[in-house]
Amino acid sequence: MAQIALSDESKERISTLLDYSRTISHYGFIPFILYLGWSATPSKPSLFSLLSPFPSA
Amino acid sequence: MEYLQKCFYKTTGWSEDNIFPNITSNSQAILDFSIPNGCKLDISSKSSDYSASSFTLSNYNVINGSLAYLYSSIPLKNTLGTKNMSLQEALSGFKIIEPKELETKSEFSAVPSDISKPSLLYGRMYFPGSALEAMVIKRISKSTQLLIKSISNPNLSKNGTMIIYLQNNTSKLSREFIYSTNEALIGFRCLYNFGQNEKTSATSAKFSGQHLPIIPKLDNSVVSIGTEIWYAAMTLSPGLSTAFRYSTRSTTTGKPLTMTIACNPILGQLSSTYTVKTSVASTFSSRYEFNLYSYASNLSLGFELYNLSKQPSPYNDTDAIVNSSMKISPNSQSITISPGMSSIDVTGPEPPIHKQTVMAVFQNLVKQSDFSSVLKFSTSLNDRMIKLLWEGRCKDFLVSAGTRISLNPNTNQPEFNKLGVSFSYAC
Repeated sequence: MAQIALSDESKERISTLLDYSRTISHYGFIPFILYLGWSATPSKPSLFSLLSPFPSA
Repeated sequence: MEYLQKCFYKTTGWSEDNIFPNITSNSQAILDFSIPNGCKLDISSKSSDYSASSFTLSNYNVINGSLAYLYSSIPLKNTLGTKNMSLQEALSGFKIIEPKELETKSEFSAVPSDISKPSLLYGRMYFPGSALEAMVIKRISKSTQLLIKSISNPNLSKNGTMIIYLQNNTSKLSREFIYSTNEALIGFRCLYNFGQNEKTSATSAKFSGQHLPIIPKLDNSVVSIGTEIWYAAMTLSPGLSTAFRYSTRSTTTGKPLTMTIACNPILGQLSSTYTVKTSVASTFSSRYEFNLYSYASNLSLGFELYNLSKQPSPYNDTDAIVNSSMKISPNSQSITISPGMSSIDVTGPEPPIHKQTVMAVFQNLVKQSDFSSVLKFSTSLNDRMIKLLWEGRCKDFLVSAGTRISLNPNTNQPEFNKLGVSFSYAC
């Protein structure tokens, strides 16, 4: 079976890519949830009312 | 947030009792309840039907907090705030395990296809440290769901861990395949419910032209057997455990009780529990553990006591419930009576009917009672400790305060291991 030979440069590139994707998913998960909640709500609430955990009057 | 997850399961018709790790949940809720650590404040709100947010602040050692957001693809309409929520619903206590009826297809056929595959996303970020806890639930079909839980923290080795569950849950059988990135752990759990359920047995009896047998069947009881197998691919270590649960209700008083036996052959651990709801407001549980290899044993006892609130409550309608159910009973009896019935059989079907109404009355009483607080107590003889927890409603807040006192093995002096109070508010 032919093995795919990866140069050190491309290995490094892949690892940095994985690193970035991990960081993006780490910090992007909650904004993604907020976006889904915002798009599902018919009234399209303001960003503040979605973000705030405190009950709005 | 756990409450919202429960609501999601309820709305989508997912039974949590049917999953193997929950097989001993009744006794665990009374014996192994968790006690808050330090002071904790939890504020949750539902910004819309589809999204909710929660904010937690606690001062255990250092002040830390977390911010959580939840999204559900189906509107969570049956949720209540802490003001209106009943205590039985808000707290995990004794749950009556009922034989699940096979769901009819008509229930879901009316629902549009995009709602029949609901999903739930949940994310919680902890401060300081910015660790992320994430959970995704995706229903693949009516009885299958994919559950992914993950913790992502740059400080942890391999940046955290992820567990993937593929669960299949039907009224008879539930199966679960688990994979965890931590040590490449692979697991399989299954749980099987014995006994024909009430609905199908009643209909089959009707169709065959025979009445229900006189001997009390497994109509109101559930016999479940479950097992789990684990294998850690990296450390080559296996794990195995099996459990048996029998849950029934007293034929005379309608009080539910649950017995379980769990056994782990590899560690030689045997554990048996007995949990009974002794009255509408109290539950008692005991557990005996024994190790076959070390002969070490432990006996744990625990109870929970509910306090009725002083305000006039639906509790006064007890007579109405009793009367109405008694009125219904002659009608329901006529369903079970078949044409070819002998004189002996006339007395025969009477007790099961009476039994059913008693059970219904008891269950309604538990559901409708308005409790103001609950006191939980548990002790373990081997560990020489006492756990106390008080949970109740104070204004619109749900307050839980607890402590764990144990005897110091060296000085024989009692000392506080844990002491905490937690406030939560949701609307």
